[in-house]
Amino acid sequence: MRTKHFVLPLIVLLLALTGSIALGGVAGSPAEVFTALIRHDHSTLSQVLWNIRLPRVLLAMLVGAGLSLAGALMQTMFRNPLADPAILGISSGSALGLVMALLAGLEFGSISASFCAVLGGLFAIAIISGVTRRKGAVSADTSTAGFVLVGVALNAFIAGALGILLSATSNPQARSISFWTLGTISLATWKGLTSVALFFVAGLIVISLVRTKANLLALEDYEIRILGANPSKLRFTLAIGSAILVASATSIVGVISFVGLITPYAIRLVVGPNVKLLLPIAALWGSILVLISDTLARTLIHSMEIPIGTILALIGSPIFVWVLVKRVRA
Amino acid sequence: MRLQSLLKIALLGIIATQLTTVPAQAASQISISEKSIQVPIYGSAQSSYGKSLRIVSLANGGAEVIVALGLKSKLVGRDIASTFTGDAKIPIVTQAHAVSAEKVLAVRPTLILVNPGTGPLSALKQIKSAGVKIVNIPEVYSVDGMQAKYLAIITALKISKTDPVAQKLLNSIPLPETSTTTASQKPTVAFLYLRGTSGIYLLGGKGSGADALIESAGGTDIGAQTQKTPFVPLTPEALVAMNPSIILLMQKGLESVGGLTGLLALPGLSQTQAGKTQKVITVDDSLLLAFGPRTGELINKLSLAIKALQ
Amino acid sequence: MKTLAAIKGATISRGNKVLLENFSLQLEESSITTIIGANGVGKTSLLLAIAGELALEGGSLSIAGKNISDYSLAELALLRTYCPSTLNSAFPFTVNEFVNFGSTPWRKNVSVMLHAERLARVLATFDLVHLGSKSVLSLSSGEQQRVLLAKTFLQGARLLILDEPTTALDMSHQILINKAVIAHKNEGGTVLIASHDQDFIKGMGGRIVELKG
Repeated sequence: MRTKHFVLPLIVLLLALTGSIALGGVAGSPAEVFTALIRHDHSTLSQVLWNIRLPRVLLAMLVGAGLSLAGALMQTMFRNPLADPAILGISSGSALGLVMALLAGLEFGSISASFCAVLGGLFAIAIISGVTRRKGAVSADTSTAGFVLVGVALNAFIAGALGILLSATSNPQARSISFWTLGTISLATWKGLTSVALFFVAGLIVISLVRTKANLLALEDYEIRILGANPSKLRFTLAIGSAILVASATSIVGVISFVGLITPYAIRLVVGPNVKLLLPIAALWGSILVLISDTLARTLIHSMEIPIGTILALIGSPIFVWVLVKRVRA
Repeated sequence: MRLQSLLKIALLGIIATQLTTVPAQAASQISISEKSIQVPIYGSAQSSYGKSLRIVSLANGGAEVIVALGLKSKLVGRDIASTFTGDAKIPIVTQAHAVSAEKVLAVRPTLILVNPGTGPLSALKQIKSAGVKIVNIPEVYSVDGMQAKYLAIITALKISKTDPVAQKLLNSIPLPETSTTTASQKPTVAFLYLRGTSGIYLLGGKGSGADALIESAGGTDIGAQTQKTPFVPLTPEALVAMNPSIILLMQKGLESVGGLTGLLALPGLSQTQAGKTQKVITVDDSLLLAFGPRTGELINKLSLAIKALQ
Repeated sequence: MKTLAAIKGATISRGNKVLLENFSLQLEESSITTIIGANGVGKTSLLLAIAGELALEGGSLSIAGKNISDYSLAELALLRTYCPSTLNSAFPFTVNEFVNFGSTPWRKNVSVMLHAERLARVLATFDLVHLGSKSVLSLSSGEQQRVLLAKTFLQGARLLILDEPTTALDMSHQILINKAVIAHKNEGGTVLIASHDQDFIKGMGGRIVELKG
């Protein structure tokens, strides 16, 4: 394993982590922050660090890693480097699952609610697979326009369904639709973090089941079978892994776009498509991207919270366009 | 096997998270419901429209003004934000906050009161083309602005300014706060606008309307002191830094985060003075920012609430 | 000689067109069989059918004495493999990575050293060592064809089914393929080839079966 690809992101992550812990609305010098961190006492700084900033920073890292991993898996599964959980409607599918869980009386942030979000995500993956997959030809699978269109349609449909559900209900927990369109990490609590962490580990376990064979999905289905592996089973397992990662994040932070697309795509250009290297490196950089974006979201303008979707969109849109243009030229 | 121990740890983790809920304690929550404040009726004002007058009020606080002028029988339709005791028979003619031309015209109005922000414009155009008169009333979020608002409504209803009922209404506007307490001695109140788990609190700043009420009620609106715009999405840490001693909320806003327990579970809130002592004032949504005849009494009740929570 | 694979009384169609009716063919161990015929007559379909990837309408297919449906995919992968004539890859894997896909059926049961040795050997056999780190998508069609063959041979299946393996190769590389095929046969393996290439076919020897429309 080429260790050189790990060095840079690990260093950057460490720096970003330190910076993110040190910066925030409740200010303090690095020395004060350090002491407050070690001495978990009743001072405002210490309380804020332990109850607000730390869970938020850790959640940002987990969400970034999870979304980036899911994006890499989805790109592998759909044989298309432009697949992304949000664009393909999987994030909104998770949102739909979560809203239905909340309407059924489950508590926001609970494991069971997140589980319903996972089911919603799987539902979306099933639709995308069913509509875009045609037997055999890889070229048919990689039709970019087809993906984007199905994703747009699915997102629109789910937005409509969510709209109807939310306007028809007086259940206060499900109320705000803005939560689902512009995600945020500002609601980070230890409880939510634990939920995401557990699902993250579950997702990793699922992925590790097929990590050696995932690369085979670059081949045609029949070629994969000739080699003794089952392409449907591979895709199914990757789908569950992705849904778990995306849905658990979405159920706590809402829909966050771009991370699942930009990070794996860019990393693949550098380290290649082999999932053995792609997955961990993409996870690291995804972690960094969301962490830095969230820190900017809460510190850029004094005391104000800029929605993280806005920052990622500002950073992500030009990169996305550049990526598309580069791909068309290729 | 490693997998088994991993699963055991996972199971323990799941159990642990389900057990960590914020325990409900006896709170110092004071709730001001609209049922506790009646719209005062100052008499029966004379409109030169006479018997034919049929009013639909889509302007903020307009419905209560009409009731205060003794013209409740002329009110045939209202918007969803206008609620008050005795409003049951007056139909709501909006779809959520959007005007429904169909519903409005179904009550055969002769006059519609709107605010500059009322919409959608297409619905208003339809109503206008059906021959119904639409009058724009200023939307105010301060006690100072109430005079202009009342005058606009009185004029729209073709009531003379010298009409005794109109005069009573105009004189009922609360006087500006003349307390001599310095700002630092007044309790700090933060007005939070919450809508479900929207993830960010909107803090009421200067011009939110709540600032006028809080100042009149003897408190200091800390949001208005630092934020120049009516509503600002606030970081949890900033709220902790501001450290309000009382939180002011709309009733539905509190419900939308799951009540007091849910409110205190929001990051940052339980680190503030208000959160630690659970000092929360909730006011009915339609009552709080209506800036109409009930506002005087509302300010009194707010003042009492703030004193009680000190 | 023992029969490795046998197809009996099979009807093979592609879409609505029936290509072969009541077709039978036996493939022995240590043999080379070449299928010839005009374009579109059904050579690829026949090869895919014998590989088990195209359903038969009527008739039966057996490999190593058992009906093909009695095998799991993993077991079959050690018995038979199919090599297409063109390379498709959704992502730019390197030659080393792509050829290494061929090790999927056996890599769990083999030591890392032996795995590396087999991979190195097959890359050398098909003159791919110098292209090891290049993306398969950037190669010429001849190089891609050799990559496909290397992957196929690495799989180590007893029955090699090669579909037009020399269409893009120059003479010197054709000779490499020739040698590899004959070596496989001499080790007891079976080879089934579809080809147009007269020189290549002559160089193979073995049985020739002509498909007529």
